[in-house]
Amino acid sequence: MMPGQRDPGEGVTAKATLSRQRKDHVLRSDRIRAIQMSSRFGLGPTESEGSALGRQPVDWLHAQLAAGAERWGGPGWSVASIFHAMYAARGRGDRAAMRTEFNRFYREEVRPKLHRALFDRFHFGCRTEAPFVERLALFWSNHFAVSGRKGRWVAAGAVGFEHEAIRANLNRSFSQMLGDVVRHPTMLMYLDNANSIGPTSTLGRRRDRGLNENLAREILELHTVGVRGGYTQDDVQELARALTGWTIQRGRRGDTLPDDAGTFRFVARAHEPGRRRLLSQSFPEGGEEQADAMLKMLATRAETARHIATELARHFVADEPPEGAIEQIAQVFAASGGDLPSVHRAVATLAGTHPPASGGEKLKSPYDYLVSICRGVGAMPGAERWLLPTLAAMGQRPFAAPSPAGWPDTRDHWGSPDALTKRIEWALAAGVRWGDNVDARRLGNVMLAESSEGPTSVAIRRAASPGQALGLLLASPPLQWR
Amino acid sequence: MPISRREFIVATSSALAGVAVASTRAGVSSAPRWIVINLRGGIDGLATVVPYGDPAYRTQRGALAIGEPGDPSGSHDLNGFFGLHPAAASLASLYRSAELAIVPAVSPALVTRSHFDAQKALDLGQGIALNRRVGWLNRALALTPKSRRPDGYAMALGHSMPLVLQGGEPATSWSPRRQPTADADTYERLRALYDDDSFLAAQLERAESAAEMVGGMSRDMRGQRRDGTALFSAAGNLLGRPDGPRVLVLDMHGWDTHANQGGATGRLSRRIGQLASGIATLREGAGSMWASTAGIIVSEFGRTVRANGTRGTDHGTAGMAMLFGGAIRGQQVVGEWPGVHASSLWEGRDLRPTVDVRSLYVSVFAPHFNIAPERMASTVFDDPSIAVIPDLHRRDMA
Repeated sequence: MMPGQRDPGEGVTAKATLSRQRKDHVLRSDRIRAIQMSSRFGLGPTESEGSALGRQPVDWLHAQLAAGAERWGGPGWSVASIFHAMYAARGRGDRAAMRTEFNRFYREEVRPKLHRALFDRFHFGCRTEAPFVERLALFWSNHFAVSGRKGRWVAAGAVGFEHEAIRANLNRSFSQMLGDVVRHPTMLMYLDNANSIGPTSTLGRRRDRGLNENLAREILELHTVGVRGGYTQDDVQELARALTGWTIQRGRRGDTLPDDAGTFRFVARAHEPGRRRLLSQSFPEGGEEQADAMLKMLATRAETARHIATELARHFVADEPPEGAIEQIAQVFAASGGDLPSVHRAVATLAGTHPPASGGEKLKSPYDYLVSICRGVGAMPGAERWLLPTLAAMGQRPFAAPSPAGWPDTRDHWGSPDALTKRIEWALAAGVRWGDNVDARRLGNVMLAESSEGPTSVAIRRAASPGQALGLLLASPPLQWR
Repeated sequence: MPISRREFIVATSSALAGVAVASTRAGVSSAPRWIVINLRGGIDGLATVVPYGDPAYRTQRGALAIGEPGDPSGSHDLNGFFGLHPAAASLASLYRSAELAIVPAVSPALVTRSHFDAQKALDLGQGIALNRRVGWLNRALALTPKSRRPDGYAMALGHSMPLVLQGGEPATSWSPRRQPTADADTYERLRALYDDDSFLAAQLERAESAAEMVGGMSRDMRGQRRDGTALFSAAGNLLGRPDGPRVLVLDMHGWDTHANQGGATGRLSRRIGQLASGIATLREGAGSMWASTAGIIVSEFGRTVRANGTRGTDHGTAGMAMLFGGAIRGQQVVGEWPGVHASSLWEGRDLRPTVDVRSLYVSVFAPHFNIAPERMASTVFDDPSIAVIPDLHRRDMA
């Protein structure tokens, strides 16, 4: 006590101490709840995120949905421009020479641009104060997955596709997003629709080319009504027929390259004529608007609302999502006609009705994991050197999912023995490398949803070296879950 | 896995290409070499340098007490009062040939039982304000003549650059390929954390028994002993090269023996054995450069005098250090022995420090590089009051 200060008296001091203890306890629980919320609905806590969250996580999520909240600026170039340049590089003349030039162009011009965009996207995830929005963008991107495993054209177009067809539509309707996705040259290439030709179309009768069902099937199975959505093989083929003619303005070898090479183009000569029937509904003969109408119908089906609600509930609540969570979202989806802002607000409400419990429900994907560490540390300069090889080693090279179903969203996949081994190996090595520069105790305070007497916190304190402490933290069970 | 000599030489040749050969003085083979061996985790000094002559030793140490010289698996006698752990035979013979000195009760200037803070104190050479990022050795390098500091002059062996060498003066690092990322101690602690997570624990167990795990981590862990030796072999090789690095830092882990540390045999004993054979390997590799080599073995703190409830020891205060090399005046005990009687203990549980580790740095590094110790105390450590201990170094060095 300072000289001159009055002693408030013994009883008052004791009471003040007690309420401070209670306040400390409440603060600790608040802190833990905030960390869980940041991990489950955001991309992982930062040093300052706890106070931004406050006591009302749902409000925090809603605020991020507001227009004007920050969004990723994108790669800074359009897919059309990249495709155009790739067509130009392929050029004209001797086949072998063209291939060499194309390879060189891709290696020296395109790939560095792609990598730069991926790093930028990662760093945005690290620093954004609207992580819920970024989570949603990544969700939809995975829902409409395209994969570079198909080839360099899809690899080149993937990140731009995400920006142009997905992120640009987060505040619009599911129907608009679906339309932009199916029209996008990257998707048309990925699922082989660019070469699908109606058998009785002008081009179809002339050449020995035909229908490709791939895009139509995935639209039904993955993007809209889902595998239990009640569609038949006939439905797949009817949608495929309707989608013929949806293709890309190409650069043909030997001809002058058109200015709009690399953009969407409806080619009537390739389009299968006739009326179509999809899920017992009739669609009159038409051009581009025929498939368009079918897509709009699919977007508003109850099965679509249910399918997407299930995926959202799986993503934000649990691998086996509870019926109540699915219903909450499906109802809003259906009632609003697939209005994405309404759907996203419904997802935010899940934070209140289905808050994250003590953990062990949603396992982080490798990307989630690395972003969460970056957010906890506050910055990761030099991530360009290790990010892509690390993601590859952990089995999640960006835009390289093994199938159009995208990355799985369950612990059985990301927590497989091999996946876990890779993650632990990386974490322990990262601990050794960064142990002198990153304080594990401080990072643990930011990221660990446990009290300071929890097992991981104790292990950090008892570690034999900073490198070991950091390695143990990064490899610890709590950091693998969101 | 041990690297082939040829592979290693090819690697370091390219790393050290263009390094000038230092001039030599008559009777002295070449420019001085300095090596720091950091034992991370807090080595149990009382098990390594055994004060068997202290009357309270046997009672205080209980089951951890090492037998007297002459007993089966007793210590190697040094001077009638102190002995060395039975696994440290090669260190005992270095002591007898005056190439090794022991410091049985030393600590960094900042007394703390936190690994982080104590290691920082050790590496920074600071008593307070542990937020500097420049290690004492890096600061000390600035005092040596620039012309004698070619590329590759200072080198850390291992994956990362330890704090002691971090700073403005350039330093490189090198490690053998496929150095294990999971040492056995770290992995064990991690396993304990996974016990609390039923899903992940099951996955980890499956991983451990699966072929891919054996091919990866466990092999690295089984190879740990071999890879530990690889660093000492590399260090010896580098010391022995006329145009090799002049300053080496080597970290050795696995000293934080909280449980089941063992006595004359067991986990700590094996580690001490590896340290001892490592020093012998250094000497052998250094060859004719050993005469101009001075080295120090340090750890961030010692451990409790009495055993804890899990047959190990907890973090203590004073621990042991050793000075070694042809340039050292060995066969001596540095600093007063505080005693392990209950009345002599620090805070009732630890050995009381009688030597500040910075005194060792100043009293050996400075004469080794022909710098005035007082100048080093003021310039590098900002502390002119650091005690300079005489006669630790054979002063006739370049």
